[in-house]
Amino acid sequence: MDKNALVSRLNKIIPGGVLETRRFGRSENTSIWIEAQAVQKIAMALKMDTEMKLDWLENLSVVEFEKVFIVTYFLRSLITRHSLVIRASAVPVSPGSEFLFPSVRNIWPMGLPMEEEAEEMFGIVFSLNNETQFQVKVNRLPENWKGFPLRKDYVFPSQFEDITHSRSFNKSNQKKSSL
Amino acid sequence: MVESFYLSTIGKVLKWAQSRSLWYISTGTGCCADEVLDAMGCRYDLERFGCLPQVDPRQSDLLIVCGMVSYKAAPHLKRLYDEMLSPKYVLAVGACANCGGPFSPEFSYSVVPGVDQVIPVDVYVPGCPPRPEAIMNGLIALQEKICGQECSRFEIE
Ligand code: SF4
Repeated sequence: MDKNALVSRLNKIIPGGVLETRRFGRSENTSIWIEAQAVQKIAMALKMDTEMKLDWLENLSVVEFEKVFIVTYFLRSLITRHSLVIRASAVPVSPGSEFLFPSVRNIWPMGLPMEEEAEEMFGIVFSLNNETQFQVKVNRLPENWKGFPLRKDYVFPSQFEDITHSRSFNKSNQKKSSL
Repeated sequence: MVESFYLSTIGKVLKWAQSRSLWYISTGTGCCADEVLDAMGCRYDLERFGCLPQVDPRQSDLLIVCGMVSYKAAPHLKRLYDEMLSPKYVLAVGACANCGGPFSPEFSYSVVPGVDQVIPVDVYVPGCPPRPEAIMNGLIALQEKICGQECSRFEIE
């Protein structure tokens, strides 16, 4: 598979969408850095690509690196057995706040649970159009949970619903036994 | 308020019977549940102590908490404990259930640091995970505690 041909094909469809091509870590895989605003268009182009046919979103991961959030899509094709990694980055408007990011759940439906998890853990709201209201759905964390736990600036809670989040070895904060 | 009254000889017999028929409900919240399953199995055979696994909290006397309890699971565990009929006992198995263990409050945001912050615990079994022998030892300690005999105890000042 020729990655350069793929990149030039993508560049033809979405001019300026592809930023650069890199080896993904120490693996043989190629990773393509793309513009965050062009994620949906590029995802559609990759799915419809006659040579690649990347029809399966294997994994979606988010990492915070020096206050920049990097979203990585691991793609695979069940038909042609090709695989590809695409990455895009975004910066929150102010630290600690939620921000919008284009969603791919209409293109690869298996992305929905992964996007929901990233939404809860990092406060990235994956939206299908940029007019969506900020509202993070909660179904993995307990209700009334404050903050996004996998962010670097997250402070552990000192208390959550009358349970103290610390351990002291005197018996005063333990419930009394029935015996 | 818990009302109680004292029975002398018949009380001893009742306590003896109670301690020898601890029907339990086990909550597999963590990886210690595997070890409890081992203890239930044919090699270690928890049933020879009179322990019978139950699925209904109303029919059980003992709640075995195996492993870590997350903040999301804590209210459900509390409800399970509240549904049990008195007299009821709790056995905390594993470092996670005792004090948070490897998920202690410095390293984890989501695990309750010790199940005794949610429900009262009678016997703590340390280990990560404890061997089935240790779980059996904890059970015998609980039986001795119910009978009012002295059991091995370790206190931290
Ligand atoms: S004490 Fe160890 S084995 Fe038991 S639940 Fe915790 S981590 Fe798992």
